Amino acid sequence: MILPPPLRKLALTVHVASSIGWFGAVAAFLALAVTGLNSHDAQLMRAACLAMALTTWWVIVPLAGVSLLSGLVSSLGTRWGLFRYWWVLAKLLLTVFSTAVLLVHTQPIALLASAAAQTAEFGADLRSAQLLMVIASGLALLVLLVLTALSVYKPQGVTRYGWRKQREQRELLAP
Amino acid sequence: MIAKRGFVMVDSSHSTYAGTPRWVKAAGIIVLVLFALFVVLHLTGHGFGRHLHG
Repeated sequence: MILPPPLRKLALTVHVASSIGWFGAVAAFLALAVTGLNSHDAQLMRAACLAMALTTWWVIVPLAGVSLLSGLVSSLGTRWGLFRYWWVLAKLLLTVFSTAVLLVHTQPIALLASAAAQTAEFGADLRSAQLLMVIASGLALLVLLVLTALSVYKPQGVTRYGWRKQREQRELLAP
Repeated sequence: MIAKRGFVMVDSSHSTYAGTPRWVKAAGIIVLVLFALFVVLHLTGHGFGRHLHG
């Protein structure tokens, strides 16, 4: 179903805002993760871990969800569709993958925050988890940058399904 | 000849599917290589797949 232009623009606005917000929140998370890993100040390290958990649950996870849902609405409500163009399909797969990985990582983030709330000294296990947070958030930023590039450049190419749909439309338009 | 009618690009010369674009194939190869690397690291115990256990 093709949405009317005002709703299309609303869906696109929500999608762009949530996606860029997701990017910014992950960048902030990375800064906290690097601070937590490199700091020799126990209080700063614990504060960074607690802030990472709050940022994840109150900002990153909601924005990821809104970005995914608004992306679905934006594509299904327009002639771009969800499976007709390779760039849209690539964005869908990357967003689903990123959201899934994010949800998996909420567990070590919560455990880090819990440990930070209870102890002043981080053992080897927790340091390893902190390193994981730095690497994971860095990779997440890379993926989100790829998603942004796909949205802007919209590289050419229709899927076989999209080509079939275009052929059907051509046949309808043909005299 | 390619003509645009509304949103649809009408190309009367393409009667068959043009195939998967090069960038999609390249991206697919990169993803496969990264996934294979992840699996190898995970199986050899060098990966970051170990998470804290509560």
